[in-house]
Amino acid sequence: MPGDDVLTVSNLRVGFRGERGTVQAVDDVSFTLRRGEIVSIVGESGSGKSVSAMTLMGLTRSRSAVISGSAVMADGTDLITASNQQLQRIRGSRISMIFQDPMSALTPVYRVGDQIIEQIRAHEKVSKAAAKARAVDLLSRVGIPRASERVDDYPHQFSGGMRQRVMIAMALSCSPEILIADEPTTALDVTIQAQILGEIERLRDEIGVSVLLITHDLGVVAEVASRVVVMYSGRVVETADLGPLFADPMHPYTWGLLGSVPRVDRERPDRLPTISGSPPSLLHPPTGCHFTPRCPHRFDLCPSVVPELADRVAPGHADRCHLSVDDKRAKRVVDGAIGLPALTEVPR
Amino acid sequence: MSATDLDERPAPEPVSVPGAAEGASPLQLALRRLRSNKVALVATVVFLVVVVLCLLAPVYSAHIAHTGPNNNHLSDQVRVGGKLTDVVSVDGIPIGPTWHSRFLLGADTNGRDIAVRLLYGGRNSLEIGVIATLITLVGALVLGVAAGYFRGWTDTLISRALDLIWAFPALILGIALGVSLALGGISIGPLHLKGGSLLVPAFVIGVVYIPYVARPLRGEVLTLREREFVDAARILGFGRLRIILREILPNLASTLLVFGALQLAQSITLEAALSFLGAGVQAPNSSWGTMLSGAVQLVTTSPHLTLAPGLMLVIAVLSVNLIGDGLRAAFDPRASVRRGR
Amino acid sequence: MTVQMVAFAVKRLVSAVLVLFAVSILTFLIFVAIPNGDPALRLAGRTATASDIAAVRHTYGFDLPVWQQYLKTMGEVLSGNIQSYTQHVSVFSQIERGFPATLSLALGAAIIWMVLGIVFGLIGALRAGKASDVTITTASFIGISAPAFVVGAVLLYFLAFKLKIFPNGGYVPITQDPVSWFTHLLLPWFTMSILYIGIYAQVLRSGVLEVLDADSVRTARAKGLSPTRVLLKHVLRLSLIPIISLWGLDLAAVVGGATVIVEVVFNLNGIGQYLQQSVGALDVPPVLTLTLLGAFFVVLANAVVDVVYALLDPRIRS
Repeated sequence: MPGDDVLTVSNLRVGFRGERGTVQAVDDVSFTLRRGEIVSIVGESGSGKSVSAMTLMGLTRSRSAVISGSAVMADGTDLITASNQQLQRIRGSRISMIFQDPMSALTPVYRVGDQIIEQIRAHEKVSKAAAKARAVDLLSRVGIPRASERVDDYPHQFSGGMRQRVMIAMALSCSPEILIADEPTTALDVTIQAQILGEIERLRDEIGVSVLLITHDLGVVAEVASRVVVMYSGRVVETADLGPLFADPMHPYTWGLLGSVPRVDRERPDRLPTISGSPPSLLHPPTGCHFTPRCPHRFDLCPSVVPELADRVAPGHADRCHLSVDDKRAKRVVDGAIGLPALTEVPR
Repeated sequence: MSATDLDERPAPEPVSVPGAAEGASPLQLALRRLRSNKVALVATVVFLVVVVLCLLAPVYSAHIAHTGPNNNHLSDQVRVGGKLTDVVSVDGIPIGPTWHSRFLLGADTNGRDIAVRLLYGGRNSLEIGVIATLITLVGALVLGVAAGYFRGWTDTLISRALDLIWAFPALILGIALGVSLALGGISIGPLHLKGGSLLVPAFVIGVVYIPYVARPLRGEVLTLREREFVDAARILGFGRLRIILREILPNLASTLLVFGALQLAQSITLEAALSFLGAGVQAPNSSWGTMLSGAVQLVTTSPHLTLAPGLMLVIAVLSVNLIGDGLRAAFDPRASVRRGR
Repeated sequence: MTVQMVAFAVKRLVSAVLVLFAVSILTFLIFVAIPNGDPALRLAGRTATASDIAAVRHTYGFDLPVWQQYLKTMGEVLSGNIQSYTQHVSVFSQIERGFPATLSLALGAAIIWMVLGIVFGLIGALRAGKASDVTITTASFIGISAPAFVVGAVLLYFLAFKLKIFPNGGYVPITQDPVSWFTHLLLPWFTMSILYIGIYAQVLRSGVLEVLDADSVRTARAKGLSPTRVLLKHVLRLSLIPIISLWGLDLAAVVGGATVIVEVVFNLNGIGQYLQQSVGALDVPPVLTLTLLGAFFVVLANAVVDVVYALLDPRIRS
């Protein structure tokens, strides 16, 4: 039924214990994925978006990892507390994941068809012949020509874009409820990028799978997402539907992201606007709001109190910023467009 | 706001953010890792002790053992535990370790002081090892860089020549060359070495290992050549020699260092093997290998003859191997043999 | 086996023959044509008299041009007629006598070190950083650093002589007494393997550690495959490829006579020991022939390994 929650992530925390302390890669992340939705998690490197996704699959479990919170699927299974065995059965059959670099993601010594068959037969009692037929069908559905011949080829015989399609075919082979795509187009040409995104959308329409799309590229977000989760330094800083995020953003980091994209409808600036400074260390993060050192709009409350992730402007549109809604709407406009001015002083 | 206004605004200062990651040069990182590698540090100390002991051979010989490495004491007697014993018994069995200043580690069948021979022989073993390693490194560097940078015919020629040497198992080539040169020595151009010189085995060992180092170096040069900073240098108009010296060589430094240590261990081992078989150091010179050569048959009656040089060999080679691995870990933690998760 | 693969194999074999040809020339140069000293003196050996030297000079025809000398000598080697100069026996008959011992030692040791190397390497990688790994790594380093002749001699002394668990050296042909053949080879096999087990365990360990982090393994896990399957079909399959080619080359070197040291220590009378005896007597024809034989095995193994590598890793074939 459309509108059902397929995955509810609440207060997810993931830390890694090391010699020099604990790296808190994911700090209190919550979001929901509804049936048939494409939700995009946006953030820069180190924001915790990939670690969150990998944790949902159970791929970050280790002796040094400290994981808490919950990630509940439609049938009540909590991915965070499930046993390793349970997770192994869920991976690849109920939740699938595709990764960033298709060049290295497939094992080079096995044929592409065999790798798809391997996944199918790991989860379903199906004969080799039937599995192979399914593999051929999947390959042609993701747009690979001459699928019945190509199914016996090795990964290195495919181009980057084709390889990513193979990955998608493999990921969807057991009809999962959720597909997590971790930067699926980052390593590809822009033109191929558009094709792959189109492919994902089309498959969502045909099969009804819900997609969690992880990216750092706002263009990709605008293209396919219906809801956006913005992450910074391990925390969710803003969550909204696509329209309100672009039209009425409520967090300075989001303004910075939006402002740093060159705009076709405006005069070309002499310098591309950036967000001053660099991402903080996850080992010794700043106190209070993590964005404080880089935020031109910070005030005394910011470094001392961590802002709550709450719906401040409208239901379903949450943010983590102490500023009032009116202040936000005033401060976010720089030179007539949404953006973030440069910091002029060195932070204390 | 006009374009000129934008020009007049001061450029944004790079903002220092508390808690941002600190940077350090590759060399600093390597030194830091090396300093915290306890095993490598201990190994370095052990190896230095061995080297110093061997260098002090004359001192030990004159002041402690009171005898030289080639002095026979066949008919002498020495006080052991209060009793006067023959250095070499009537049936030709030499005395074992006395743990005193004279014949500390015992004597050999000719009545010579093992401890003194160990130190003098060690000097030769280490000297040959070091010289051979230098020959290997220099030869491999020149050939590897030439083949990798200039490619084309230069590369083909050099690679085929290296393949040729590679085709012989190192030990067998060492034996072949060692035998052949042992009698007649070497006369190549300005290089004249007599057959009995220590430099002959050094030369043989050095040359035998050149392909093993030249090939990886050539591979690295091939990769480095395609890197952007080399393109940049070319565009700036630097000549080929300058590019090699300024861009390529510094990037090979860490590889050379690691190879150097590992080759030293290999060279010492090969010298011992060749000398053991009679194709290395020739009489009257001695080394740990020559000491072992006669000792192995007598292991049932006089194990100390084998154990003394044997243990020294193991200690020296092991410590150098550990240093080499420590260096490898310092420069590229992922490549280290001992890397944990 | 596609046409591509066959063409590849043929190319490698042809170049192998060319390399062997070059090897023969180089070997010949090392022994006969190095321009220093009197070659007749060298070839006649240490115990030669003046008339021996003159005879050598005539037999070898040092008045002939170098290339004719080469053809003559190579003709003798290839036809199997080359004679040892100090012992007046056919080199090839001696080789025939010693080869079974060398082959038994080499093959047995190679299998042992391959299996144990893989087992220890895998344990070390999967338990990286823990006590078992540290023990294995330490033992590997000692194995790599301890020269075979020391290890062999020590083992012979303690286990064979003192404790009498093993025989005191020597070789018994398998056709004569299989059990004896086996017990006589145990210590030599172990001595021979120690070095290689150390090397292979460490190589496989780093290889597995690296592959464990690989994207393709991450994908395999994400597919929901069982941990055993991920390990065997993805991790091991990828990390074994370099080991197998290494093994081929080492086996060749060892069969070609790098067993010298172990043979000498345990008195096995294989071709390695024959090489050492000839070296000791400065008897050049056997040394020349055995060198060629060793090189032959290495070149052959190189070609075979290249082909096997292409079979194991489809990326190489294009």
